Amino acid sequence: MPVEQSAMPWYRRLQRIDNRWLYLALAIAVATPAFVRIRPPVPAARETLGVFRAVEDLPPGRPVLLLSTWDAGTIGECEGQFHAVVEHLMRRGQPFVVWTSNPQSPPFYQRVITEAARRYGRVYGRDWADLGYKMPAGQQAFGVQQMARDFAGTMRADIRGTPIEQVPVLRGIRDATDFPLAISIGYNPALEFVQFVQAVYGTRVAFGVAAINSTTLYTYIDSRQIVGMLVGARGGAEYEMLVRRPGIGVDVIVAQSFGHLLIIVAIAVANVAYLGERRARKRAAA
Amino acid sequence: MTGWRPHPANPFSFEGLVIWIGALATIAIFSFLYRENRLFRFAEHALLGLGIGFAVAATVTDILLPKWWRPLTAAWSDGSWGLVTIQVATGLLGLMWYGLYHPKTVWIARIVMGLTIGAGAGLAFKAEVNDKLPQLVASFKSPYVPVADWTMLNNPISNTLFVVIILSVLSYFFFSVDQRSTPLRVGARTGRLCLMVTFGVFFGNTIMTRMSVFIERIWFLLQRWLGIA
Repeated sequence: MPVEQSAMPWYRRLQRIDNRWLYLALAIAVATPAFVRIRPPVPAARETLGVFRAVEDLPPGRPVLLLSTWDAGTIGECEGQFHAVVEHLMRRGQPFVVWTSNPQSPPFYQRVITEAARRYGRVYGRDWADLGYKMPAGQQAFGVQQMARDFAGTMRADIRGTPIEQVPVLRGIRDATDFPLAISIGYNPALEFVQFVQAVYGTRVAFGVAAINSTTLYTYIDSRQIVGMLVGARGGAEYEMLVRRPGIGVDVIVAQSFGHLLIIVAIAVANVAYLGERRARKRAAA
Repeated sequence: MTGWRPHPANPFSFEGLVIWIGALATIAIFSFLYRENRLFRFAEHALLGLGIGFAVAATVTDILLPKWWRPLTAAWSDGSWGLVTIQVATGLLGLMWYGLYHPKTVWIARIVMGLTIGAGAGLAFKAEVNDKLPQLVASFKSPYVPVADWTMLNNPISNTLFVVIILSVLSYFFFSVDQRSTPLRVGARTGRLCLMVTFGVFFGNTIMTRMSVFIERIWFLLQRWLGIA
């Protein structure tokens, strides 16, 4: 350690900790639950319960419209949400149709669906359908409106190239009224579901979003435009606990608690250093 | 849990190779936390290139081919000339965007740009009405609620708080009115405090989102690459 730095008062040294030590401490903190198995209680929030109850209340046999736009950058928050919702739908035997406006999303959501389908013995085409990448996110407003009005004409074929009319789960679907629930899971919410599906056709809507985007969406719950919302990794973890199948959502939220503890400690240390410096300045002035 | 002893993924199987590439790319990106370096630069450029290439390929195979080219060729084979005309016209409209790349042909792009802006504005108007009107209606809350109707969201305390916050935040944005009068000044100050609380919530949620990304990568390295935890 250079002489000048060792001569620094303690409060200044604390305020000049190299960021890289903090990154290392954060990595160790979030990795800890991987070695020490901890399962704290994860009570479900009201917004999560809203989504769960909406799935529970679904009429049997009616397909759910599922938009999945998460990919590599949002696995941490959205995979848990998607995993829990698909688990719930598969367990109930509720058919669903998944599609995306993000070309990078299909390999990620297909992995989750395939695993759940194998576990519950669900069959492609009968229990669920995958329409794949259908429209760029930038054109979602036009696409969702068109899809809500003429589903088969807009979607045309599933990801395997089978015409919509020949996929059993999609037979007879004309417009958005044939879907009792539309769920969008991804970094951003598909507000088009509220604007052109819920408002026009009365289909119930639920969101799964990154925590960063959740703050402004609570008003949609208050106005009953959406039935509920899964907020980041927390929403995924809560839903996983509701369907009694903890997965990546619970793993992330436990690790996140350790990370938050570290941040709280860092904030406390920084404030102690700040107060120490202020006191030293006052003494020097006196 | 497999224990603390590492069982790294086998790089000689396809799945293992994918995990190794993912792990090395993750380490390359995280190396920026130590300092700027060539490995990070390489990974960053490779990621951008791959992402754009993938999006272009997906647009061709999942949108242009099934929604434009195949219907066009099918209509041509069937002799459905009306459909052929529509498909050719939409193709030409799409091509008009490329007029942007030469000063002499910019006017061509402006035509299709105008069409898009017009359609977008119309759609946005409808979207805003459908989006905000129910929220405006929902913001009219009565501080009086019969005890039998009390819920988590609909009770006198919650509703009064809601009304106070909405009025105070709105009063903060009355910039055209002199805010020297006490009620307006107190209202605006309360509104500013409420906004600060909201920004705090935004910041907390931002931290949660960023940390989730970090955690997923750390666990990927530990569990899927090294097979430790």
